[in-house]
Amino acid sequence: MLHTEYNHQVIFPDNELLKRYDISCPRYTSYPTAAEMSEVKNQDYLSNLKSVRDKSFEPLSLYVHIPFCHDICYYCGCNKVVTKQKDVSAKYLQYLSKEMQLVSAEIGQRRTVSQLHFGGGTPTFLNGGELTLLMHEIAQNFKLSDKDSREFSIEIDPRTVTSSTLSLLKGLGFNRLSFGAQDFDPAVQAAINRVNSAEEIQALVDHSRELGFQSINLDLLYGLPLQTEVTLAATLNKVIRIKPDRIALYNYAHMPSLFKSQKALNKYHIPSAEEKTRLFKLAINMLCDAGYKMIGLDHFVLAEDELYTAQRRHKLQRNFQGYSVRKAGDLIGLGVSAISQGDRFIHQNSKHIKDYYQHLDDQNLAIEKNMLVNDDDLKRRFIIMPLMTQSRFDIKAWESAFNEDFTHYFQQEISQLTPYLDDNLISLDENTLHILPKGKFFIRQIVSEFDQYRKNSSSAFSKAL
Amino acid sequence: MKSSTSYSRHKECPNQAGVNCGDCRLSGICLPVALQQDDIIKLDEIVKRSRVLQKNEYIYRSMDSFTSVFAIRSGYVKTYQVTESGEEQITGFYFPGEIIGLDGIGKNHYVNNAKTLDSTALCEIPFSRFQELTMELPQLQTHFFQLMSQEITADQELITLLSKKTAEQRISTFLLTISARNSRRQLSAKSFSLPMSRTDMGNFLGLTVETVSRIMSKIAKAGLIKHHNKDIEILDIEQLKITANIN
Repeated sequence: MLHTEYNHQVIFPDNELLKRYDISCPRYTSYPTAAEMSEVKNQDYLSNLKSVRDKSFEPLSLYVHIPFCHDICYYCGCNKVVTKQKDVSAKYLQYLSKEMQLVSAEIGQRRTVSQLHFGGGTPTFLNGGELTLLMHEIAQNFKLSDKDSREFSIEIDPRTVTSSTLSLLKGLGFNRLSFGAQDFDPAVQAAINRVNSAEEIQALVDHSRELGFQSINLDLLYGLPLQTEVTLAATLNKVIRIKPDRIALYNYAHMPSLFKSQKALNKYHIPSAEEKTRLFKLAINMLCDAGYKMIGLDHFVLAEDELYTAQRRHKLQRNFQGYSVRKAGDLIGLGVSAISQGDRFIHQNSKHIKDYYQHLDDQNLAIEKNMLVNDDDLKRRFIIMPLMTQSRFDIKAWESAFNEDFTHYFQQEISQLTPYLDDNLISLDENTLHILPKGKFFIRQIVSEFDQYRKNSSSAFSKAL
Repeated sequence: MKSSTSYSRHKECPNQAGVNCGDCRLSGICLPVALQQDDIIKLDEIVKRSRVLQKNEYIYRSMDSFTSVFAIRSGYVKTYQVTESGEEQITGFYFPGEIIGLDGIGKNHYVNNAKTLDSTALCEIPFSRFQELTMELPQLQTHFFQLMSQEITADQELITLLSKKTAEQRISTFLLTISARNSRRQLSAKSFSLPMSRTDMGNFLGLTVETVSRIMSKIAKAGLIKHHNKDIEILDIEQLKITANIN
């Protein structure tokens, strides 16, 4: 069984099944999830960071958050600061520099950074000089890989860049780009306050290819106001013509009580749950027909992309930064609201820029929330992460890693899997737990059965009853 | 902020009275109008006028830690990397007024080796001292990194321009870029001497020496250039642009 390739077959579940398992679950980009963190009470995180120093030969992943945006996109749920002032970024870069020096003092500079990601907000809010300065300071505080296999990526708001910006990014060492497209329909774009044409993005993507960028990603959203099957099909046809190597197709979640900017959207223009299911199904069909492979619930890649090869060989990795081929287990997040993760901890910086500045002014790291990962968490992480990326989990490997009996340790969880087994969403034998093609749509629900922190919430099946 | 646009760049360059700093790409840093007189004196203290290097000397080597960027006052420099199989891959040629060492910015060490092609004089901006100064003069830092980003962009654009073309287009483009660089320095855009060997030129352009020679002869025969050893005369610049496929 272990030598068979990953099965990329997609079988869209029927409405009855969708309804039965309709519960919201975390996306499990980590386990425990970021939701389990609590307010920092002392400076424990310093010893956590020191533990990152010890694994001196393993690669490291670095995330840098640039919170600023010129304009507000109404759908956005990210941590951001919308401003027309251009000088806010110079101040922010000074604080980032200070944070880097403090972090670097704790973790040292022996580990090579093999993954680097600039996210936002809008990283390209920074001008060329600021991007150059920031890369210079990162390189002074961390050991950046210069191998071709490094994954240095940046989120691009196509409205903020020219072909020169892309040339600069290449020169600064980035080799991957992610473009935010969202949707190409003029009415939808107007509704979300984000207008950019497919032609502009096409030109930027073409130039990126000439510059030698690889694994170019396009971000899309479904479930946006005024989106219909007709408009989405037109958008997807344009996307397919642009032919990005990777597509992230996220489900727009309308939660105006949580994200203020979403209040600007007309809720009567937002597709219903049934309509959203149809939009999702349409997108999957069109993308798969165009040669894309579905590697996760919201991720599609071309068959030539290394992520597809990695998944076929059961080598796909995932962390807060997204999918990757190579493992970089520990993640260091820099900037306001950034999350860091090691084997034994997760922590997050202050979400408000004022607090972030205040902590650093006091010569402290700006860590606001954290959690320590215990032995039980590790046992569950060992199951959850491979299920999320490879749709299977090797029971014998778990047993030899922890020297315990799987069926005994997870007696309750296994019994909770019965409905999934009955519905042919998973298969389970003494060696392997497999997610079957139809089950991939319920992967978060299935995985949540192993989530210790959701034990007290009722299971999918009982909720449906 | 006082601006003194009237002062002569020539006179104010603290490093070298005999060189026209107005043509140097670093002049935006050494002589920015935004800086006051006192600030220029502070900068003067950190820009080092290094010794004159002979032909074929290293300025820095790949993996040396990134300490400085250099402006070429006179002479020519080539940058190159050594491939895993031990072959030299030339990554750029640099002319007076141009800046080298920028490849170190995102790495903290130099990626390329930099070697002189001729006897060469440099101005050096050591980074650690520079950073001390930018604490006092934040606008100097902004200015400097803005300039660096433009240089990095231009380098990348040239590499991309050359990479997508046919052999004939590459050589024509290459000659045109040298012509443009000369003209920026108020030198002849039409008549110049190539500072590099045919072998180095072929290496940089990804062409064999034979191909370089063959195509040089071909465009000479077509009446676009005249060439004798390293001396080039561009006879028909418009036609050369058409051959290069640049508008």
